[in-house]
Amino acid sequence: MHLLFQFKSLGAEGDFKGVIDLVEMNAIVYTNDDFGKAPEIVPIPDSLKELADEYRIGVVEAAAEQSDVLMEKYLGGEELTRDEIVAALRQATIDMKIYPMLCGTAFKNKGIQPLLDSVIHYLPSPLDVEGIEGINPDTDETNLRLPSDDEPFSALAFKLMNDQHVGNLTFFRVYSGTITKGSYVYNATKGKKERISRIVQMHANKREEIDQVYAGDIAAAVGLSETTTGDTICEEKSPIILESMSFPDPVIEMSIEPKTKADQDKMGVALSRLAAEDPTFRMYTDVETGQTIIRGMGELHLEIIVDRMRREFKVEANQGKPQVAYRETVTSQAKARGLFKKQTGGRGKFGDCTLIVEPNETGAGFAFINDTVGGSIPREYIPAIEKGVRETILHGTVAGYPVVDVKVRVTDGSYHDVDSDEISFVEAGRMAYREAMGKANPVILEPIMSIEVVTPDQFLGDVIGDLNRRRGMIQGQENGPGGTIVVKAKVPLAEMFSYVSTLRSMTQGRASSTMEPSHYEAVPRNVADDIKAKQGK
Amino acid sequence: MARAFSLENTRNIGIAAHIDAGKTTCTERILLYTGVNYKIGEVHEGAATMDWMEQERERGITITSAATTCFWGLNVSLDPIKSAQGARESTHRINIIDTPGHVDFTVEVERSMRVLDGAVAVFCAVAGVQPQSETVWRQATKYKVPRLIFVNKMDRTGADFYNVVKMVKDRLGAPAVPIQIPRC
Repeated sequence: MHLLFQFKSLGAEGDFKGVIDLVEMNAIVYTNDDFGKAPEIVPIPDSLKELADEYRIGVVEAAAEQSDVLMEKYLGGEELTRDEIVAALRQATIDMKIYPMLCGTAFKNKGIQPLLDSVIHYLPSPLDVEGIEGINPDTDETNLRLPSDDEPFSALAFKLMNDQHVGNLTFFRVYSGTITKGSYVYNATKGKKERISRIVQMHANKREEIDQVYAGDIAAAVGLSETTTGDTICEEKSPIILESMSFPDPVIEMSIEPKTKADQDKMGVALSRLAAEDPTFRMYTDVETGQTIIRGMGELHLEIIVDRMRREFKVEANQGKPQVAYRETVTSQAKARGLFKKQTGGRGKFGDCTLIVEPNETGAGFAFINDTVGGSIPREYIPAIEKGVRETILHGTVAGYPVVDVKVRVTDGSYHDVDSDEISFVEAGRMAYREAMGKANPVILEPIMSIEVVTPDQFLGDVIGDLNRRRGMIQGQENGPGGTIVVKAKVPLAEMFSYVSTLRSMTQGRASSTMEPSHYEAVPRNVADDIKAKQGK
Repeated sequence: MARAFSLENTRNIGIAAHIDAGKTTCTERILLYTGVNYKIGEVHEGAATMDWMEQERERGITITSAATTCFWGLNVSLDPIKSAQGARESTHRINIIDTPGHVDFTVEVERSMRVLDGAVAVFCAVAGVQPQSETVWRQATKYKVPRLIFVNKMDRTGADFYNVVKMVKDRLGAPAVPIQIPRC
């Protein structure tokens, strides 16, 4: 303890010259004026020998704990060899039993080479991972792919990026097999064949065109137009779908308006490019107001999107205030008839359909089913009805938010030989849907967030009280690191704007929180009334 | 064409850090030292300072790539001139995958963690474990990513390696083992 204190004061006053390697038991010092490129390996100075010996014990014990053989050797008073220590620490690191700690200063060019050496010594190679599982889309069976060049090719696309020199790049990690440029790959997720025209590898100082990539490699492909983030590309005769990444649905939305006519033209292109790169960013046009709405994962996320639009695509836009991305759905079944009839001088309009609207499974989205019998509506008009319904569900009947998870069935209808046409049935579908949804106990859904607050014990009451005021449901609490308490709760996003700064001031900056979208839930009636009032409904 | 580096000698790693811990500088220096062969050529042409600037700028672009590849090895280069410059025999390929820290970019973190095999967690020697570094740490734990911890900014006033070791153990509950101590 005394020793530690002494050393600390020494460290604060003295210059940081380099590091002492407790595995090799030598010092790596940076004395040359060469951007730290050629450090010297020297003996540990006498002044630090005692401290180094003390910390060396921790290293050797961590190694010894990895196997009975080493532990016996250690307890028997025998020295572990350098190779034994490195091998044991490597295995322990890969198994996440230990986290080796190093130090340095990147800015002053010290300690980076030993860090790179440790990456080689202790971090896993692709071989240390025991293969990856995936589903064969043809048989639905689970298959295992080993990290080997001899296995069939499989890779996961994990990022799309637009490069100003090469165009659209698809970054992928090869899990098994190899692929050469110019060859065809099968996108098993989408069921499409695509050609990789070029393969590119990014280096510190250049872009390198390569001919072939192997198991375990990461590279970027040029020429994949259908493949998006999370898709598996593989050999067509050995199809496999690797576990994709789960991407949460956007929870915040904001309107944006181009500043000039020229900006308007470019904005659409910019937004669709950005949406292709980022699966949690979406955009759509509000048909009622004609506004462009962008949706994302948080305030900062949308800010960055707008900023990138300005910097990379030179589009200037005014942005609205961030809002919660509400949705609507129905909670019961209801039936309604839509009759669209117009008698004018010449040819009239006639469309007539009866729809049943009911809840679909959560997350199942929209389903449209034709249940008519005996040709009560000619088949060619069914798509017109579906079109009418699809347009209408963009704006629900409660407060105008997009409708999700509904099933719509056409059960009956009638037509007129002369007056019926497509437009009439689009209109009839629209009318029937609006009425049926209104009767099917529609609700507004709001995003609910999972939140974890790590707080010192003395602020626990304040933190929980505050979460309760925000309509939060406390799920539980457990002891966190260093005498803290971890509070877990579900809270509506609508109540969480600027939560971080409130939490900071409430706890003298000592609590921290992490939040992620959990699910959507119906809002309570009083909140629904407020939302409706705001939307002018 | 056979593979130049065996699978055993490949590393797919991320560099994860709190926003002020110095992730970018760390990545830059890694790219500098691993690209040392390229740098030498420039020095021969006699405009070292300019090269530095230029490479810096170029690197600024490549750092934003989703993945950057570099080469390293444990043995010094056999070429005496290169070895004097600290160059190594390239025996290992290291792919560095970009991992942003902020929770709003869940998607970036998700996809990076999904494809990397290991990570270097960078902490600031003065501030230690900050709330946001806890978030990044937990995300890496969720995806079962083995990690090294690099305590950066050891040159700063108030830098305290031993305090960060304690914070990692206490705040993150992580069994940290210092395999280095600072030489001051």
